[in-house]
Amino acid sequence: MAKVNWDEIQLLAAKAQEGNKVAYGSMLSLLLKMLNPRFRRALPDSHVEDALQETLIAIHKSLHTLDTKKPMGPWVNAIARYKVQDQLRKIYKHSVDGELIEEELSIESSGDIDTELYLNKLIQKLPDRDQKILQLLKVEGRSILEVASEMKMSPSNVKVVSFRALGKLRNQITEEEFHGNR
Amino acid sequence: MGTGKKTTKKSSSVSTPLSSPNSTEQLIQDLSSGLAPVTPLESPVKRVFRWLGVIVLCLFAGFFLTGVREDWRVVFSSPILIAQNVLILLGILSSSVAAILLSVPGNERRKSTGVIVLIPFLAWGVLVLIGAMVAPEFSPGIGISCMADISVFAILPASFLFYFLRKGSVLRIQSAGFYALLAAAGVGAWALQFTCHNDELAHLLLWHFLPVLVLGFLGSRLAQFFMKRK
Repeated sequence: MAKVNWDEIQLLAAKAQEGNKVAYGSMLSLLLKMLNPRFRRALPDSHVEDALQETLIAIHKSLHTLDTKKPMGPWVNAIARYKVQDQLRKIYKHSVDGELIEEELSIESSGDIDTELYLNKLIQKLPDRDQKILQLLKVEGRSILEVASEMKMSPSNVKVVSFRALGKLRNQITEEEFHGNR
Repeated sequence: MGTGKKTTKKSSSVSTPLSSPNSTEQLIQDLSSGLAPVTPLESPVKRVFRWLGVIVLCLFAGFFLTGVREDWRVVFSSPILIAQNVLILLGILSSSVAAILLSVPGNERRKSTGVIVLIPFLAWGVLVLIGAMVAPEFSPGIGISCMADISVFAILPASFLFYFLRKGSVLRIQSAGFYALLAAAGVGAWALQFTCHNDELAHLLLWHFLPVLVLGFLGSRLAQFFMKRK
């Protein structure tokens, strides 16, 4: 990956704060190039553009908080990190609200190491039974009936437990926000 | 904020069709063409001092309305009350600084740093807890009015702090709200040292310290209503 030239971005940001539209456009384009690969590692493909656009809008709305005398990296990274978390939260919130979108929940198929590690960390905090059910349903892709048979539970009970486990995951993600970075 | 016209915020619902890289390029064009010169946010130090100025005025107004206890000088002569005053003031300062720092992206702290911010208030709690436990009897009395006074004294400082936070760009909204209301409630608790006649440590623990904590947690919830991530 190309090295980020923060000095150049910072210079453009200082000009942007003075109202230089060309410098601002260049700054946003450079940030987009820098963030794109990172977002692709952290999010399912279908959510990358959304998250990038949300991040650019947040940068635009927060431009007045940027102190161009200080290093700009932490400022950009913080905004980007929280936008990724927001996007992940939307994905999981949507999943527990009803429809499970396989692409979004299939850890294996996302091929995304960051997300996989993050999810694994959160899943390990769940009770053993919840972990097992999520593993069978979402990672191994078994059907509700198969899981019910293996776990010696009724299918409806499996649905309830998986629904609650996903709810717990969502809460954990929210708590992560409260306590800081993942 | 001084970034010119409002941008066309693109919906990012997970159920909407996928957006394309072209639309991101278009967004950059829209954002840059709508740019206006930006007035940078004041430094955190300036904003903290500005807030401290506001709370001094609030305290004077509050004391004028409620009056102070006749023996208010005892607050400066009793070692335990002096210690409490110092800890509360340090708590107000550290919490307000933490809240205001959180209004600028990149200043998010680690959990350990967050605990350091809370040390003055925690030390105050430990002080009154130990004092209440070693006292011959536990007589907190009824302090509903103290709770109400803390809340009333905290309203304006909390409002101004929330205003300062909203002018920035808060990423950790709940934490910022927690620190903000903790600082504001601390102002109320400090003011009560001069208005409440009951110096029993059990009373201070139950009706002064705990309400400050409760208001802090309430702040983390309220912040979700009053602030939104940009």
